[in-house]
Amino acid sequence: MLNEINKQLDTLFHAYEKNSGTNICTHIYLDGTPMNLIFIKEDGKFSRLVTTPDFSEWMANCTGDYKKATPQIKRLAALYGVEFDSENGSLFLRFRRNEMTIAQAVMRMVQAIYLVCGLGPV
Amino acid sequence: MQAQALNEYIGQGIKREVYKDKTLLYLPFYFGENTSEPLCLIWSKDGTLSDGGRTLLELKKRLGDITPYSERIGNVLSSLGLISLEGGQKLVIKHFQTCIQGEQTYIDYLGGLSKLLRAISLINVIDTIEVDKYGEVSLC
Repeated sequence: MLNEINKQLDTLFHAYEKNSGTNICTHIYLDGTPMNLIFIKEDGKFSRLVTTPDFSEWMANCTGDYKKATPQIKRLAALYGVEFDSENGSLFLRFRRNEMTIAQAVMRMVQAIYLVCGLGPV
Repeated sequence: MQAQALNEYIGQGIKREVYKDKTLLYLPFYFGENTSEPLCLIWSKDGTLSDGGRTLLELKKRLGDITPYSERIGNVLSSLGLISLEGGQKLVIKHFQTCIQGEQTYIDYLGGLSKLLRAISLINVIDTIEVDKYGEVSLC
């Protein structure tokens, strides 16, 4: 059994190339839909992790209107140091690579997704 | 190429120790500014996954008495399902979902891990959020 567990753990937070950029598979599924992250290298110092459009769709459905729910989403996401882009309905984390490792940034995003995805209608 | 490099960077921040009877998975879970020690999750050889009691320990360290939050914690666990609280401290998953992919079936251990991390993420900030019996989250 541990062999199978370790085999599956090999794929934890696995990055892969897509036409739209580099994605990170989080293994978060909401109603069967994967909530993955897009990695964006901004310049020499900063990187950004952003949720995919699937997340925005989820938030639109669960809150009824994520623009109306923006204050709550922002406050919840801030508990894990993550920001919310109310125009695109995405969570994002901009981080300096010498202050936070990519694994730490991924965990923060994962934690924020778990928190805000439970919001109900506003 | 960027994906490959990224996998290496992520791998550097997520440690794993594999023993005959267990696997320890160290994740850089963010518990707050005051602790930088990674979260150690324990997979036993019988497939049981546990947080070793760390989540409630961190909560007690930060809040002292956590009994006022018992109902909310209970709501988190019952709404997510499969997770139990052992000895009043440890979050444990013993059962995992079976998935079907094509003609093959497999046990989704990562799904169980994901569920546990979701519970930990909510319980870690349980003094700031309300969680009803359906698992719906709102701010206090």
